Amino acid sequence: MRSAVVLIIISLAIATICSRSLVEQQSTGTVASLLTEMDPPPGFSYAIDPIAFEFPSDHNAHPDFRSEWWYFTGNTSTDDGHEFGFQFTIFRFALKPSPSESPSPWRRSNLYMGHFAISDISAGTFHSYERQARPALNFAGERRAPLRIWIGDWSLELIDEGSETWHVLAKQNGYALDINLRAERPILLQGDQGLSKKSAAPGNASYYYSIPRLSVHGTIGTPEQLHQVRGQGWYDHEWSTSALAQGQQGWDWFSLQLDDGREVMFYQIRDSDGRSDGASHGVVLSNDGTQSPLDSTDFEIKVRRHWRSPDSGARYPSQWHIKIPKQQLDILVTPRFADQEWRQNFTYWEGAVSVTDKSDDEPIIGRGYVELVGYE
Amino acid sequence: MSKLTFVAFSRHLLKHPWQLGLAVLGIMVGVAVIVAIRLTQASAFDAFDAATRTTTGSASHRIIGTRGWIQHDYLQQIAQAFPDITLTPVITRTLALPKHPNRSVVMLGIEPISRSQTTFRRNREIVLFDARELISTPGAAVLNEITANALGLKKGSLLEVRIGSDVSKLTIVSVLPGAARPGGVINDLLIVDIATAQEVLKFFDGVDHVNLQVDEPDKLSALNSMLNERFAGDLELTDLIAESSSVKRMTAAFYSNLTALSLMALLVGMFLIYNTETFLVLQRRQLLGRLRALGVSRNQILAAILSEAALIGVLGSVCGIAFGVVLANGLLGVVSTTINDLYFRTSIDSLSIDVPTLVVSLLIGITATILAAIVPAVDAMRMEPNLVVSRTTIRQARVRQICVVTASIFSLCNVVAWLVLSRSQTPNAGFVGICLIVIGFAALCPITIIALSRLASAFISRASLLPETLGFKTVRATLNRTGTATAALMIATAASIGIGIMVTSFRGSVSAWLDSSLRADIYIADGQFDNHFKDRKIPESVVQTLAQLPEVAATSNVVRRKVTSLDQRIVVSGFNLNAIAEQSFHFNAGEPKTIWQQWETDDVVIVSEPFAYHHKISLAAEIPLNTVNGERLFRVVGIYRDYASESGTISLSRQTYNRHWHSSGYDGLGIYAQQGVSADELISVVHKALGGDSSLVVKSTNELKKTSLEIFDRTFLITDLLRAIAVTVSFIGVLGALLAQQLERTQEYGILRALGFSNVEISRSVLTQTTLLGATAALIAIPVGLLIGVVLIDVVNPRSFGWTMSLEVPVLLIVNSCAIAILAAFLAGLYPSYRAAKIEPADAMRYE
Repeated sequence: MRSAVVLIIISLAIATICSRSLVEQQSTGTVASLLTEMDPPPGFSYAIDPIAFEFPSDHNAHPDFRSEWWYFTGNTSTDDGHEFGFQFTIFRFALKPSPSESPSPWRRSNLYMGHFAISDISAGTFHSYERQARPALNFAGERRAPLRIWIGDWSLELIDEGSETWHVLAKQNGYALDINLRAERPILLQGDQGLSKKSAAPGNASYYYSIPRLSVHGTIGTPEQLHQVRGQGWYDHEWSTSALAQGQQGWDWFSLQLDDGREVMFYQIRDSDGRSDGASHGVVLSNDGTQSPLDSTDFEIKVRRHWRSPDSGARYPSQWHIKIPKQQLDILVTPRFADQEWRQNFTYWEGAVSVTDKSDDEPIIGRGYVELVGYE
Repeated sequence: MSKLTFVAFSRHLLKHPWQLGLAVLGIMVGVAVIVAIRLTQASAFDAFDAATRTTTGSASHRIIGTRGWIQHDYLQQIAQAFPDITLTPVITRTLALPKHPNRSVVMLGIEPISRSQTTFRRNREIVLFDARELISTPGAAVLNEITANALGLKKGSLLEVRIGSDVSKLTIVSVLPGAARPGGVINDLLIVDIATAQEVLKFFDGVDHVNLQVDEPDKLSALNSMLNERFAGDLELTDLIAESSSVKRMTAAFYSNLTALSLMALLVGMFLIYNTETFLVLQRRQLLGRLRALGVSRNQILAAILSEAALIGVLGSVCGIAFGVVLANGLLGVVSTTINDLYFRTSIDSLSIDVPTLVVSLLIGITATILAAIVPAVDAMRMEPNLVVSRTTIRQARVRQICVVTASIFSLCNVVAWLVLSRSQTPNAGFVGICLIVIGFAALCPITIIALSRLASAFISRASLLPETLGFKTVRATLNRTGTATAALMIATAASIGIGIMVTSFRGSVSAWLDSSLRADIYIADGQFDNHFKDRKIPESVVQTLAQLPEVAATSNVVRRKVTSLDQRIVVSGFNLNAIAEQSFHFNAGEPKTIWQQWETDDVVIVSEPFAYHHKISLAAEIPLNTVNGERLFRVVGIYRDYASESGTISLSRQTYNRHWHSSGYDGLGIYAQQGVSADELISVVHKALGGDSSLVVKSTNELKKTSLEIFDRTFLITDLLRAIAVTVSFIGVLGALLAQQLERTQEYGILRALGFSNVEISRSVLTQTTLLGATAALIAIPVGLLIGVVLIDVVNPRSFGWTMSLEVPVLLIVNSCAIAILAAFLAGLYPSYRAAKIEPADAMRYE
């Protein structure tokens, strides 16, 4: 009867092959893909030379540039030690340098996308939400002086220009973020006076500044409970027209706040082979406010562990040994828990991390956020 | 299977490839038809899903403006109250094409970036088109390859569209490839950004409707109550998933008719297997006897025969699957037209192969084969060990024994069938009933053969007809071989007749219904005469203008809207009827006089037959309907015959309609000509009066009837095709079975030759036998076919669709089917008769 079994197997195999050939082609084409798209249409401005930043006006949107984002991340905890990480970002993407004239309220050249995530560190769960909207009928938009940007009821707002205090509001599916963030450090211009080069080609750069430490007060809601939290946050604002060059695969971005008062930010851009690209930069801000820029030779990143996402199948690094000899830094950076992968229109990893001295067992000496883009 | 039996059996089979081939063919046909029907249905559903995805994305619900649109201000209020619900605005409109006067396109204005316009599968996103270009380029549009080719457009081409007198130019920024790809399914669909849609329509105050995706019941009910409180009567929430699944239920019901067909085919296959296995056992009596004498046990024999059957089953099923896939591919075009007519203008260019279907079909095929082989296997098992087995293989059937068996099978099957049909309310019970009736009647085959042959012998006992008389006698003597082949032929013929009766009756009823319900001379509708993308109403001014024309005697009109009731969206039609139009309703229940008396003054409705069936509604029932003033009860005073909608409609007078909903304009007009004015004259007068408003479609009643029947015929084309395929292949199988049996008896003919029979006489004897079998099959197939038809009409169709129809017996079709059966049997005798006649008596005698 073996022949019968063979026949059955053959017929099943044929059926499987047939059905596989019918799996629909997949393509990308949402606003998120603008993040990695190569050729922008003509008419946009490019980040070529350093400019003189002016605040608060440079907190506002820069519509001449194609993409822009306002990024808040932070590590917080309740009085009884329940720890939460949060991320709130609003992206702006311009489809055209200038809008077309039309009586239709839907005729807009900008699109907005919001990313909101809560890392419930104590529970080990990650909750991420995405919204996309065009600024029609108040679905999304930007107000200037004082700055407020919103998508539906998600918003970020500069509520006090003098003290650089921000209010961030987001809620979805029972998870909520309602916090004030007050700058504890002055604005830090990244790269060369705020011009952050992403590759050797001119124009492949962004304007980029941060507030590397803000004190956070407010509430984080979970479906069960509203938690009073306090902690520390980080603010980034970046705008550009062309970010990645050909052959660049993605980036690893680190923002760390050490308990000794130093802040460390660095990123490495990886090429298609997964190696670090020359255009990797960073900065260390010491206690007294001294900025020490880092170029790719100043820091060494060694991946110690990996984690494979059960959902996307992507293999992400999940522990780094980082050496910055000039700063006498020899640290381990570890995700607070592995699965902080974004699974919306765009898949990436963005999560809360802890900083320890070399060995895993050492006490935590700092916290931060890491973003990993372009892993498969 | 032991090595000995395996070698013995396989040698035998290989020496008799005819037997093997036939058995495989029988199972193959059954499995192929099952596979073909299931796969075409799956492909049709996939196309439907893809089309739905294109138009609604992954939205679960829709907010519609009861006046046909939602103003921006309302949209903003909803967005504020429910910020976490993504609202996807949609505008759809049929646009005329100035350069293609006979075509139109449906413009679908969407928010391309919205999540509910995209869909996720295997964690990967499938995007229908490049959203950025569509949003950022004013006038950008996307259409599918088929439409683009038809209109002579390519990427970058300009397309002129017209709405009313406004002409706009759109740029084709993307042509969606192949129809099987997401988004490319719907023909004549022009996808644009919502802003472009407003610019084309020069309408900037709102959108047609809003799609949204809400899974949480709490949020949904909160949204619903907000809509009711703040925008009472202006906005309504509808459930898209429920709507699409109700469409699918209907389609599934249509396919269940086809399933009956595949079961018939399989039954034919089973009879062929039974026939072949019985024959194989008989042939191998000697072999089996020797094997037993050599120490092979009864159980080993049983196992060997069943394994052999299983092998045939696997072989037949695998071939059947392959043939079924080929068949399904051929049927795709037919399915595609059906979907076009019923739902979307789609095209399906590739088959969805559904692996579970194939596995199930394979299992059905194998199981059926083994089942069919059980009786012969048990026969073989009972064989006594014997080294010297007589060659005489003919077991004389005793008439009394046959009578008892026949009577018991016939009555048992029919009683059970009657019980199943009367007790169970599901359409499937109808199919079970049909199968039982068929099996019951199949049992009549042997006894009928005996009766017919005796009858015939009695009439022609002259010496000159000796060969015929001999033929009749031989038929009686070889009943256990010929009975099953006859039964298989009978089933194929009966299935053909039964399904033919159903389709003829259905068509006749639809045609009669069209005749009685289309009373006006011409009809006018906005856009096409279908329910899809229906948007604009015909303004009242049009009716006033037309009513004043001297050529027009009277008008009637209808307005439609979907209303929430009994947890479903139901079409409610408000009629303004004149005395002639009132006659167009044919009531199955309710007294016309009393209906028309209270028609305009009371809150009464009449419902269509499918509606009454699906919602189990009878006269005097009260139906709750969501009106502007909240939920109101409407009393049912009549149930009328209607084939226009499978899900059914509720009709009421326009006066009643106006008391409960605000709406101006009409969805359809009927125009009655003055005496002496022809429909063509009326059409040209109306066209002139309308002043070239090309969005209104004017059709004569004859034209509408013709189109409706064309759609009906296209819908049932697949039934006809499958029937033809199943019946043809079944006939070939039966023909083969008869052929093989005759060939096996060559020696007997040799003896006859030795006894002095001439070539011609032997041929006559053989042909007499096979023709008699064909006649028997045809004779029994007539009542069985009628019964199948009646069960399909009275049980399966009402239970699937709620449609009743009057039985019509297509005599010509019955005569044809019977003639084909007899002819097939006659043809089956030709080659054996030639062989038998040619045989040398000496050769034949040597075997004895």
